[in-house]
Amino acid sequence: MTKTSLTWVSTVVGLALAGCGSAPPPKQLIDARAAYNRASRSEATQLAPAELHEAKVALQRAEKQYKDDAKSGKTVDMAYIAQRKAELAETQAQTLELARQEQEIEAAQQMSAAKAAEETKGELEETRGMLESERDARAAAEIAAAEALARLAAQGTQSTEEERGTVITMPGTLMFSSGKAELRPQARQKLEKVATAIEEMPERQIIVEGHTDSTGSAELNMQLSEARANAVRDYLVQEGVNASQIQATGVGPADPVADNATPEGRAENRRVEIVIAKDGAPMQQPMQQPTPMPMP
Amino acid sequence: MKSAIAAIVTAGFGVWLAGCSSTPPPTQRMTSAKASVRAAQELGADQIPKAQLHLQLAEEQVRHADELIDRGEMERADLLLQRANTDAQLAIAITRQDGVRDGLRESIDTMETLP
Repeated sequence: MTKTSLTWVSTVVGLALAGCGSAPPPKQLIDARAAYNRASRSEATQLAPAELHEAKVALQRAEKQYKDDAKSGKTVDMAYIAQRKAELAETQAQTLELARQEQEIEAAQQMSAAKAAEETKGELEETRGMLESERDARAAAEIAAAEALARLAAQGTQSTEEERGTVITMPGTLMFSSGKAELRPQARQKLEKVATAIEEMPERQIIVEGHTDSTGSAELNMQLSEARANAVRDYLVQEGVNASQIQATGVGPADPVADNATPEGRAENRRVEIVIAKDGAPMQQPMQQPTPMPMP
Repeated sequence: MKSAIAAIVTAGFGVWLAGCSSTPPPTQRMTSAKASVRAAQELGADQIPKAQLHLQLAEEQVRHADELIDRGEMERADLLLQRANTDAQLAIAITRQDGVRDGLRESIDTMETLP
């Protein structure tokens, strides 16, 4: 071997040795290592293990490249990629953690909303229960009323359904002597049965209306009709009907049901109507009446 | 000896030449890098400073890779495109995190206003 050749060989060997990693690592590789260290100590180990592993593999490739050829620019590129992958793993892990926290809050909110809904539901159930028992009570009352009226009808006293309520019409000739406001015995008998029926409907308002035909002075007829209505009312109360449940009013000739031109019509118009108001209907205000005068 | 060394040098030079021209252009890598950049742009990465930084890096590296491909430097271009891809992915991840953080902030605000 010549001296020149030996120099050549040593140069080549020296160069080869230099390629074995004794050159300092590029800054990029140092940064990549730091980034991976940070990521491996973060939530990424638990929340983004796949991405973290990818970062580790990329770093290992960069390290190998550095060992194989320290001066190669490839090391810098591979280290850069490894660093980004580590940062990516960390970022994604943080995002998952934030998302988890948001879910926790939403779950807590849903729970308190659900709890509030449960409470409201409980209150509504209670109210519904109350309403239902009220409704049942009302239904029972309606049945009792219907049965009472049916019994009355069976006993010979008819009633009709009108918009203002159930109306029991008592003919004037049956109830009173002409021009008088004193109840006849038959009237009393009938009214006893009516009182029994009314006692089956304690929640209903009763209005007793006195009516006359058009013969004679309207004012006198008004007074007579009121006196008769009061007589009926007082007797019903005497027979056990609640006083606060029942009112009396005189209508006079103002509300005929038949033609006053004929005797039959006039007889029909002379009547007392006992109105059983519909359930829940407000009490009608009686018309202002002068104090009843006893008829001669 | 001289001829042996000459042979090694020639072989080395040949290898170096091969690295320059026999590698195909990284077209697939280019497509995916450009797609990632576009995705980051559409997500609004340019609205968040830290994301915008990585988006810009990605865009620059794609441009640089284009130039390298024109010059026939395929291997370097391929590495640059890989870099661009990871930058774009990071820009996307940062943008998404910002969105989730906003949502969390809103939930906290809602919670605090409840009776």
